[in-house]
Amino acid sequence: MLKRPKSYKIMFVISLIIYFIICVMSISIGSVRIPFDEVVKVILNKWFGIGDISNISQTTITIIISIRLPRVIMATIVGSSLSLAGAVMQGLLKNPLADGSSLGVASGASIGATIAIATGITLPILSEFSIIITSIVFAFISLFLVLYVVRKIDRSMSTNTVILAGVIFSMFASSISNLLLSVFSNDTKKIVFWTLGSLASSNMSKVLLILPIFLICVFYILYKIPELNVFQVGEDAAKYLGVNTKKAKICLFMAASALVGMSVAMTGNIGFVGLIIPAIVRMVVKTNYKYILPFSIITGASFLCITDLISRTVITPSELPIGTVTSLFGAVIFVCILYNFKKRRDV
Amino acid sequence: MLKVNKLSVKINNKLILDNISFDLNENDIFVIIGPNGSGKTTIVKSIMNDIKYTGSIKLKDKNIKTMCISDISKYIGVLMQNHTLEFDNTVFDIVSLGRYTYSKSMFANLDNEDKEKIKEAMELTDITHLKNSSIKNISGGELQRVFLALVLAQDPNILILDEPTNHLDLKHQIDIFNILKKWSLKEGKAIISIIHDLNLAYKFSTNALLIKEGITVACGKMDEVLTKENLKNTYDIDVFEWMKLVLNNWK
Amino acid sequence: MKKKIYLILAIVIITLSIVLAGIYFVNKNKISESNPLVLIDTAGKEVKLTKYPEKIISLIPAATENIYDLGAGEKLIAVDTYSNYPSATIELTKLETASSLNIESIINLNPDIVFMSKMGQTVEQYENLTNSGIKIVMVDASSIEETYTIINLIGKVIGKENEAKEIINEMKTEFENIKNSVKDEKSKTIYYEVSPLEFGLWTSGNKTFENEIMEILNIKNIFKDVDGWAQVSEEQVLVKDPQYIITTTANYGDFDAVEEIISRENWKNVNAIKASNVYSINPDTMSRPTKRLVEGAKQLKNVIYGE
Repeated sequence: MLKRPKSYKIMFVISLIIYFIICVMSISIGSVRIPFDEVVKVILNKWFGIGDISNISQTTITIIISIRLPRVIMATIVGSSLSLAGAVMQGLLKNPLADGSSLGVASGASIGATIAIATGITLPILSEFSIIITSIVFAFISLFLVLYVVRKIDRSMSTNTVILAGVIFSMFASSISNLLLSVFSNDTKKIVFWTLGSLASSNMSKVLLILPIFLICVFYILYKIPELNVFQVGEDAAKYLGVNTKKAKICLFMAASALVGMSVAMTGNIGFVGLIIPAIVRMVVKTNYKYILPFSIITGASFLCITDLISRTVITPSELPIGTVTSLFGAVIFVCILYNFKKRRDV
Repeated sequence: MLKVNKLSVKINNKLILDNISFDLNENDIFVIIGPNGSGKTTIVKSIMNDIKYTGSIKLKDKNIKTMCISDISKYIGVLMQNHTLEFDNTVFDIVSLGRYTYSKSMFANLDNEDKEKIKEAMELTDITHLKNSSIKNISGGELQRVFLALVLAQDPNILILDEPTNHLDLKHQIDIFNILKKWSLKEGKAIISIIHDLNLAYKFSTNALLIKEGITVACGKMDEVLTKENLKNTYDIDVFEWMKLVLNNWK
Repeated sequence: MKKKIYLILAIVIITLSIVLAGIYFVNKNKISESNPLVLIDTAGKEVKLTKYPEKIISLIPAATENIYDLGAGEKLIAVDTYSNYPSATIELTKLETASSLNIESIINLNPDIVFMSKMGQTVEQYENLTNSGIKIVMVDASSIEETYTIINLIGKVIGKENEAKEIINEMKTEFENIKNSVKDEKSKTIYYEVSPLEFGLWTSGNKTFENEIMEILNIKNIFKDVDGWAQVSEEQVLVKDPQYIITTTANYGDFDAVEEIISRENWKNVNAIKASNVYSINPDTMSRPTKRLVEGAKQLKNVIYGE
């Protein structure tokens, strides 16, 4: 296990490089195969005005700019958001099983999104935005509801109670969502995709709508790294060390559920990400949030980009629901790393 | 430094503390002694503004109620009885948390002063060799010293310790209290400690508060408080006789 | 990194992202060479625009009215001779249509877009115009639903899509209200005359705007079984004995259409005439695919059911 901070910087740079490679791969591979160099050229031209792309077909350019690029950016944002939210919830609740899905936040947000879509309550121009807002609001409500109920039942808020409550609420909430969906739409495939998540409908408008929210939450959470670290010794000790625990908890929970709510509004409920990515990161990196959070962000982004690529290519031109892929791959990767880690520890 | 005056705490209509008063002066080691459930930890909570109370607590003539926790933590550091840790943190990480209240830069980065204090604290508590170990791999006693180092790194003026020598073997118990004694004699420092071991209390403390069921039995200099009578009334057993009996075995 | 620097950095980046989003959404709806607007008109032909039209010619009164309703009336440079509403059309250059269509004068005016209808125009004329580089958008509608379609289409072409949506929503609401306000009324039979006796009786049958409005108003058109605008015979009217007679024939000089009907010898015993339920209304509001169809419906409703 690497301990010196300098090596973390190198590791992070390597992670970034891997991430960019994954991005280019994701853009070039799909139902239509586009060579890597064309991808790079088009992006350089359209975003930075460098280079000449007159020899590349309009269709290719459209696929890259309007379909694949937004999709990759969306995967980045959602992957990072879910991982970050998971890491935060795990730190605040001192519970390695806590994340957006296991606490019922994602399912609650789904209800909000479903209601917004079904009732068609829209602002005239930005109907997408109202779906995002209702999802985030319902995410807040779900989290605070679950935690409030747990506190009433079990003062110490033990791991088991929290997860149990979260799972029960999760199932309850998804049933309501599915009920609403089947009442308003008879399309079962649509319901399945919504339940298991899909990046298929990503476009630049959606990306630009959530980008500011994403950035605000990320900057805030990173700002609170010292507090997150202190929470590791427990809420009472944290208080005596000078942390305004009530305020910190509320604000951090809000930021985390906003990230989850926003992700659910864009792509439906993608499970597992917030759970395994922080766990994997913790195993490899120290348990100082200074390292956990940035690595969770980049790993989460890379993970979702790869799983999205896989979901698009395995049964091309159809798509596997991404929730399926994340669960499958996530579980396998997690077990491998856990095994490796335990082996090294015991040596 | 700290003036507690007529402190009373009521929870669910039950009087947990009744008119507790004491003063903490510079370089004191002030111990709070009493049977289980007599309200000792509640006194700590009141000082840290963590519970509703009547009466006044003044820190350097400033009312604690008017201060926020981030200010209080610069003056007072608390070592609690129980420690709950979930994840695989390193010892260094845990000790460095003591510097939270002084953090000036982003991302919990430590400046040179922080690193100095942490190093000192770890040396004092003899855990420097455990610097990079995971806290899940160390013994209960070592963990206790880690948390002591944490609160020493916080560099407060007043140290409040709740059973600091729990889990520690005799050598370390004595070592720790020697360190604490030396620390308390520094300029502007004082210690409040809740302790069960009466021998340690007798040896190291300057002042004491003997408390039973929330009521002061005795308060003042060590010798005046720890008398045969007082202890008998508080503990319902003749402590003096017990001690003498046990001492005989060592002869 | 100091906290202040971090906060400033955060605010700068977040503001940038909001500004970026703003710019994107403002430009999203702008059409240009690289982002052209492509639409299909009612004749199924593709229309491609790289900018919104500044000079518009309308060869069909319905399109003229709709363009004014959408707030782009000032962009009209010429209209057909039948475009008579709103009053501002008096000032505009008038062009002949149908067989008198002058292709050269249209080309001379150099319009960005020409709105046309199939009525009276030949395929040849259409092809001659398009071959000369004139962009044509066909806007035909024969039902209320198709009216919504062309309002939407015209709105998209001239860059007034939101206004078009508003007009359509208003119309839908109004028609709902009108429909609900008469649903408890007893149904009446009506004979709707668009051309008087001397030219042969013509009526509006099924699949006309008039008939659709009558159905909304729960009024029975005695000639519902006939399609489109059709010629009918006196006898049929007498046999069907309508309770109401509406005429759209215009009054001019001494001629009064209502009086003329009442004075028809053979019609003395017709229900409507005995009860003096013969009325005249403006046909323009009942036959053009514009938002004035609502007015027409209200007019007819008042006549039949009273205020």
